[in-house]
Amino acid sequence: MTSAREAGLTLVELTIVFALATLVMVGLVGFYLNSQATWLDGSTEAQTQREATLLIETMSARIRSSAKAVVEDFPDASHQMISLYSPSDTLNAAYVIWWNSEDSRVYGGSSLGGQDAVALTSAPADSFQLRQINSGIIELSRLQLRVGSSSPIVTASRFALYNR
Amino acid sequence: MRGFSLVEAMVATVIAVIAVLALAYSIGQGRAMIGQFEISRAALATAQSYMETLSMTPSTDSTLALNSQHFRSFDMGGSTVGQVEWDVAQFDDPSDGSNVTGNPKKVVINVTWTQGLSPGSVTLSRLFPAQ
Repeated sequence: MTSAREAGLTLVELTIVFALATLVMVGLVGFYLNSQATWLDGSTEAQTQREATLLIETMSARIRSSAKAVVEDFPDASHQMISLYSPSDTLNAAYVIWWNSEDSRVYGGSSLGGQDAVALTSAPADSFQLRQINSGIIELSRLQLRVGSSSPIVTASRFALYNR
Repeated sequence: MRGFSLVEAMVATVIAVIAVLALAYSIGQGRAMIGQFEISRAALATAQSYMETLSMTPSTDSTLALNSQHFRSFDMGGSTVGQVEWDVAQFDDPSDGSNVTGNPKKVVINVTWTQGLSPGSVTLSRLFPAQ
């Protein structure tokens, strides 16, 4: 004879257990996916912030050591490029920083589109606006880097030509 | 052999809820720190920008007058989020005793802001020629 305690679970009990377990699993998976998305967004944003800082530091170092700088619209009026000249040669640019319309990234190199050109940021830039305040000050009026689904990184700064 | 009691199940649930809440809180804290870093970075760029501009300003300009204080707004994304302040003070070069004639000026730029309830600040200082 089989007692009630040894009869195992009924179909109704099993169904309820499965339903509850499914609810718990759905909640946990949702939490995990949300956490993962938040972490990824935050990580991408932090990396882009560092890239913005690095670009400003690079520009600062290059501009400070230059004798002359020329800012021109390139490739359109919403984006500019800057040509930097060394104290020993103020006729030929020693370093150029520009926005590339093909991949929307900011590049730097000894000449526009030259062999040694490298992307100064891996994040695409929606805005790269430069302005010459006077012969000694260059303004990065607006740098806007795209960050996945988060709000973009926007920054601005000024650089002095100490070697002019 | 009786399975779990109600009390055991409730204790386990409470522990699990606390663990999940702690995880959620730590993720939220991490995200908030990234937001805080964004405004810190903007403040540093602003302070550098002012310092560069002042470095190209004639020493006789009123913005570099000795013992003066200057205030500007700290703007980010088109809105004012804090204040930029710079002080110009006489720097006393220790190598020439208490004589300050010809000693450089010390410019200290302080950018302050409040994000939520937590205030933050970035300070830069540099010596400028007396003349």
